[in-house]
Amino acid sequence: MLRFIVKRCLLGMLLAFIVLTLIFLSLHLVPGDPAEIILTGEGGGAASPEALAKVRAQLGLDQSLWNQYVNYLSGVLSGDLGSSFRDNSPVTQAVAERLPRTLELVAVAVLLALVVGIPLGSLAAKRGGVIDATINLVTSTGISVPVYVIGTVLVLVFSLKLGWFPAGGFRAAETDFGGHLQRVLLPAVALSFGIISVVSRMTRSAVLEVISQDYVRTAKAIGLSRPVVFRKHVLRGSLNPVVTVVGLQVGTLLGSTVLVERIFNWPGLSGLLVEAVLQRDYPVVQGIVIVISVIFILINIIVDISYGLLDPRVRTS
Amino acid sequence: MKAFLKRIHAHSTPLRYAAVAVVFIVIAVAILAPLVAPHDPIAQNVANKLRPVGTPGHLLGTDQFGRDSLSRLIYGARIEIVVAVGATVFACIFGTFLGLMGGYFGRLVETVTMRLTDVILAFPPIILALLIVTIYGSGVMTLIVVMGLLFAPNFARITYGQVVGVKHAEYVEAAKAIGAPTPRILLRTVLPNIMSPIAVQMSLTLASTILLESGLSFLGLGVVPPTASWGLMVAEGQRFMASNPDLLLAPAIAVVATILSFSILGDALRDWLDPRSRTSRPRTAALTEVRA
Repeated sequence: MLRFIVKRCLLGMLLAFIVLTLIFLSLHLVPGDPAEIILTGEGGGAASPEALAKVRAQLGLDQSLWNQYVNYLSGVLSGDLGSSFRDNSPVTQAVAERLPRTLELVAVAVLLALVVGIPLGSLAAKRGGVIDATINLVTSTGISVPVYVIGTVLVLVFSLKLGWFPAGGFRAAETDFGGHLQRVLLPAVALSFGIISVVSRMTRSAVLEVISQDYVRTAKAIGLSRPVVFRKHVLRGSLNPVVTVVGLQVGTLLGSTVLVERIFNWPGLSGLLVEAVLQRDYPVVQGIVIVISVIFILINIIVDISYGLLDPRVRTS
Repeated sequence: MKAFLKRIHAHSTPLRYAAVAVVFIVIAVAILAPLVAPHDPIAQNVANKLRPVGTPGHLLGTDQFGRDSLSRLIYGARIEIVVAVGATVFACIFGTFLGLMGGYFGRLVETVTMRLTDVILAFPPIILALLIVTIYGSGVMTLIVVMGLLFAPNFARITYGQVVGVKHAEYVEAAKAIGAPTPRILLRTVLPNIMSPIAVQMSLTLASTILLESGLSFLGLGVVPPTASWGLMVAEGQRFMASNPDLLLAPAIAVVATILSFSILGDALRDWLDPRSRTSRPRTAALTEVRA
C-alpha cells in the first residue's frame, strides 16, 4: 500500500511539473511577440511602445527563454505567482483570499451530491420500474442542463419571483453567518445538479451489479434483514466507483465554478479568473490556472489512494 | 441494413425517437438557417425592442436591440453545430490517431501517446480553454481547436482499448500475413472493426462541446458578438429576465434539448451498434480484407 501511495505521488509530481511547463510554454511558443499578443490579441491593433516595454519587463521577456523558465519555476515553487498587470497586486495574495470561497462552494455541492445522489440511485436500483425510469429521465436531464442555465433559472425563480434568497453577492461568515449561508445555498445547488445526477446514476449501476453477487445472496440466506444486507453489503460494495466518480467530478465542479461565481457575483477564485481573462491580465490567469490544475492533480491522487483504502481487494493485490 | 433497422426498433423508446427528431431538426435548421429564419439575426431596430412572445412578425419577440429572437435562435443553432461538429471531428481524428498508434505499436509510442492524453486530462476543460482564450483571443476557430484538443483524449483512450483488444485477432494477423502495409491494416482492417464505440463517443462529444461552447459564450469568451450563440443569448437575456424571461428561456430550452438529445442518441447508438446483440452479422469486413 505504501509503495502504491509513494508511486502515485511521484507520478503526480511529474504530471504537475509537465503541466507547469506547458502553461509556461503556452505563452512563449506562440509565434510573435508575447507582449504584443497579450496587449492586442491575435489579430488586434497596435499597442503603444511604452505599454509593450512595461509588459516585457513585468514578464521578464527581455531575458533568455531558459532564464525566464527557471525564474518562473522557482517563483511558483516558492509560492510567488507574480503580480497583476492591472494593479500590481501579488497574485498569490488574491489566490489565498479567494480560493477558500471557491472550495466552499465545491464542498457544499459535493455534500449535496452524496446526500441526495446516493439515496436517489439506490432507490432507482431497488425499485426499478416507473420510479427507475423517472429517476433516469431526471438525472439524464440533470447531466445535460448547463450549469449557467440552472444558475440563471434559480435566480429567476428563487430571487426575482419568490424573493426567498438574495440574487447573489457575498457576506463573510465571521460577521454575518446567516447572510453567508443564504448566499452560499443557491450557487452550491446550481453547482450540484450535474454531480447529483452523476452520483445517482453511478450508485444505481454499482448497486445493480453488486446486488446479484454471491456474497449478497449468502447474506440474505443466513437471515440478515433486508436493510442490513443493503447497508452493510450492497452499499458498501458499491461505494468504490461512486467515490471515484465524485473525485473525478470535483475537477469539473472546479471548472463550473467559473460560471456559477459569475452568475451569483460570488467573489471566489474562478470569478477572478474570468475577470482576468476579460482584461487579458495574463499573470493572474496563469497563476489561477496553475493553482486549479495542481489542485485537480492532487484530487486525482487522493481518489486513487482512497480507492485502495476503501476496497480491501485493491489493497492486497 | 434490415437487421440494423430491426435492432434500432428493438432498442428504442419514445424518448430515443424524440431525441433523434430533435437532432435532425437542429441540424436541418442549422443548414437551412438563411431559408427558415424570418429576419436578419443581427439587424437592429431599437424602436421595436423587447417585444414579447407572439408579437406579429416576431414569433419569439425581440431582444434589447430589437433583433428578432427566433432568427437569432435559428442562426444560433448554426453556430452551435458548426463549432460542435468542427471540434468533434478534430477531436475524433486526432484522438483516434493517437489511440491507433499507441494501441497498435505499443512500447514507446504507447507511452508517448497515452501520457499526452494524461497531460491534457490534467486540466479541468474550461480552465484550459480560458488560458488559451486569454492568449489567442476568442472566436469560432479558437473554440474548435481548443475543444478539439480537450476532447481528443476520450477518443484516444477508447480507440486504444479497442485496438489492444483486436490487434491479435485472426483477421488482423491474416492481413499481416498476406503482406498488407501497416497503414492499410490500421485504416481498413482495424478501424472498421472498432467504429461503433467511436461513433458513440462522437455523439457524446457533440453534446459536451455544445455544453462547453455555450458556457464560454455565456461568459463572453466564446463566440464574438453580435453573432448569435445560445450561450450568449442566455447571458444577454439574464439582464432582462425580470421583465422578459422568454429572452432567457428560449435559448436555454434550445441548448438543453440539444445537449440532452445528443447524449440520449449516444446512449442509443451504443445499443444499436453493439455487435454482441446483433442478430446476423456476416464477417464481411474480415473476408474482404483477406481477399485484398
